[in-house]
Amino acid sequence: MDALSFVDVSKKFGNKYALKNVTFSIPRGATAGLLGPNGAGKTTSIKIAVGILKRTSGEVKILNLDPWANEEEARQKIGVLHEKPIYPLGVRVIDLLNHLARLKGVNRRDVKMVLDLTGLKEYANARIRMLSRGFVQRLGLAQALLGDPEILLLDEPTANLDPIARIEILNLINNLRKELSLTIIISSHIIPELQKVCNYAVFIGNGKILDYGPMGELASRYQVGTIFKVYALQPRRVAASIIEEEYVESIEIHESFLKVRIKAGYSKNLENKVIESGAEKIELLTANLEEIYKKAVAYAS
Amino acid sequence: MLREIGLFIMIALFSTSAVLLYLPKINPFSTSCSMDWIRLEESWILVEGVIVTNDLKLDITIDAKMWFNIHGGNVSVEKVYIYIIPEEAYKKKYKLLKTLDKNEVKRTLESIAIKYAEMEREYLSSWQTEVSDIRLEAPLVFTAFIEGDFKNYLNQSRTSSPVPPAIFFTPDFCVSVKAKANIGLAQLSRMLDIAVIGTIAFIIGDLKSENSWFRKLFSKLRILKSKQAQAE
Amino acid sequence: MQVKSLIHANFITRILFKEFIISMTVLSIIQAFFLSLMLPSIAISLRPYSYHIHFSPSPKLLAPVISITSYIYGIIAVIAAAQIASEIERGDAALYLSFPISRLSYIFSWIIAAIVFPSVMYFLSLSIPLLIIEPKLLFGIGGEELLLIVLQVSTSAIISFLAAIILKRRAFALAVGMFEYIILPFIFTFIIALLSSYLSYTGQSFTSSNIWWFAILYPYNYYLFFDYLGVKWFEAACVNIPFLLFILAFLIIYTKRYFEAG
Repeated sequence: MDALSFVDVSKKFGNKYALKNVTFSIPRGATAGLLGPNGAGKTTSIKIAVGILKRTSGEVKILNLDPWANEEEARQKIGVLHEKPIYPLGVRVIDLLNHLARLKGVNRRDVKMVLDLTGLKEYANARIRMLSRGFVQRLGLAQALLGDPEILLLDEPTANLDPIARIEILNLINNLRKELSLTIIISSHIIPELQKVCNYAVFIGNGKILDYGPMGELASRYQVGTIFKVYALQPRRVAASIIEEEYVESIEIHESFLKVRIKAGYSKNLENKVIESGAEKIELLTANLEEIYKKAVAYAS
Repeated sequence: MLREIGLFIMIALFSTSAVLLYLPKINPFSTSCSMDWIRLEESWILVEGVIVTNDLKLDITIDAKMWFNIHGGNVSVEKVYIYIIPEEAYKKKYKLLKTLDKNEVKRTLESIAIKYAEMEREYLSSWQTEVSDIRLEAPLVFTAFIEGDFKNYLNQSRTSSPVPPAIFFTPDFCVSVKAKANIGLAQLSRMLDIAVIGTIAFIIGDLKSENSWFRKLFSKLRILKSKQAQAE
Repeated sequence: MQVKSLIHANFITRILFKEFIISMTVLSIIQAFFLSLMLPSIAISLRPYSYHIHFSPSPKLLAPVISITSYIYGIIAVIAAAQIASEIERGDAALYLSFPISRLSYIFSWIIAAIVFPSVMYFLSLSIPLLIIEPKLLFGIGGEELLLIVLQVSTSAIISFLAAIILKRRAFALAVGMFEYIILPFIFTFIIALLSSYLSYTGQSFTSSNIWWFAILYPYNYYLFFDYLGVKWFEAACVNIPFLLFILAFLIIYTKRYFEAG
């Protein structure tokens, strides 16, 4: 069962198509980036996935539920951070979270947990109007995390934030990814940010899907270099054995692992080589997302 | 919502109390006139009067303004007395009043009236007076006893003729009443009951609420106490 | 659905708390003032002694008070109902509808907060002074005046509410609501006056059957103005209630099938 699947989904506003025959799927456990320029249809896709907007045609399933027809059931399992979220300014942080927790059927312990997770404990009694933009985004993450969701949908989570706040939010998302076994779907037009966290990508442009899939697969498809993380007891020894390979572009040595950047299409070669050299584990870190995206756009056009 | 309802009950109670306690008697509300008489004699007339009833049995106090005018006729009026009589008593003496002489009528009226006074002459043919703070527990009859010279009119009325008398005379006795609801023990006890209900609703609603004002207040007091203890 | 509607209605009431309390306080003072002013005059009657009239409580005992204060109550309800458009416009609605509350529950929570709650406040603002002055008044008036004014204001508020969720613009919803509540009755009354003149000119009699349609939107006004034609309160209610139910049914169907908060 996929976390989210769109099959031939279209959405019309008046005479204009915001989405046209969109088909993609995101597997469970993935940290997926929904990437596209402004007006591509990312926010529309997220709102259809949550059941706030009704699709004009097609089929949408989120955790095997129709978000429009089974809205309550579906929303019980998801957490959403909308683009430019609006909160009632005169209400205290803790009161809003308590109310949303009640809607989700969870108790105050859960609220305390999300306040801790998102670093909002000190601001629990502050009114929302007193929070800076960075902390409003943290509040958005906190409300999205209520009730242990299985899927987290984040629409432009770093929008309108200063650089430091952006880094903080991205680190938070990264930590959540590691600590909780969630499916995370992040919609953004800022590639470097997605690069840091995603292992799955969906490219969207002009209301159409350009391509989608795991990063490794996309990297192979578009012949783009990838970065692997190689775990080894003696990382220097493994590094020495692979440095001479022509497909290895660069190696970063850390205490217990290596970061190896290779040319496109040589994943299998690297895998075999590092295992020969005594490495314990190899995992795909990321690929050059910008390159993949550019090639996908070029291919689509 | 229960907290808000409880709070509103207390606001409504306070508004009502403030208005009821301080609202003055403002304008005359009702006026009625009587142009009939029970007795028409040579030197006196007993007007039939106006009845004021408290139909909703509220606890009401009234101020009344009464005036008497004469229109037409070759008559003269010397004095006008008004009597405010409970209807029960008036009813009992009604038939009797039709048979007694002048002084007996006056004495009877004085004995059954809760208040009586002489009207003051305002103009040539107009008299008026005012009474205040009359409690309207039972229906009250306002009637007037007029002393003067009505010989000419009486003679004309007594002639049996199909044609109405040439001299036309009507005594115009009018009563205008301003009323005010009283605040007594009954009202005060109901206010207290409503205050209790409102307070209970407010407290229960507040304690059940997520952003309880009482809990905030108690935590602030605790913080204050601990700060004081630390300072000591 | 019921529980979540109440939970969210509670929250909405808290957000609109200050506005509600201020407007209801003003309403409460005006109610108390007018009741205290008018009640004594309603309570007492004067007549010449020889007139034997047996008092029977007028069915429109509270008409002078309700006619004035219901305007405030109606305006509060229409403004509160249009507030949902504000929430949709700004994006708050998307936040709440991202949680397991159905669109229908969300709409009903607003109906509770914007229409039911002010109606309860209006009822309390009227009944508390009456209870203090004399409890018999509250139980003796039959409640038909209150019922009709609540139906009338609820109709206006639901229309404003429907405009709010379809148009998703607070200004438009408010305009629709205010037009329906304040201006349209005058237009209808003018039409009725013309109709009455026309019927009189053509030698026909002007009866309640010519103007029953006025009660569709304004059952209380219909009952108050056309008492002299012998209209009964339940006739007014029977014309209005099906229309109100129809609008509610339309609201439910629209919400389930088409309401989008994005």
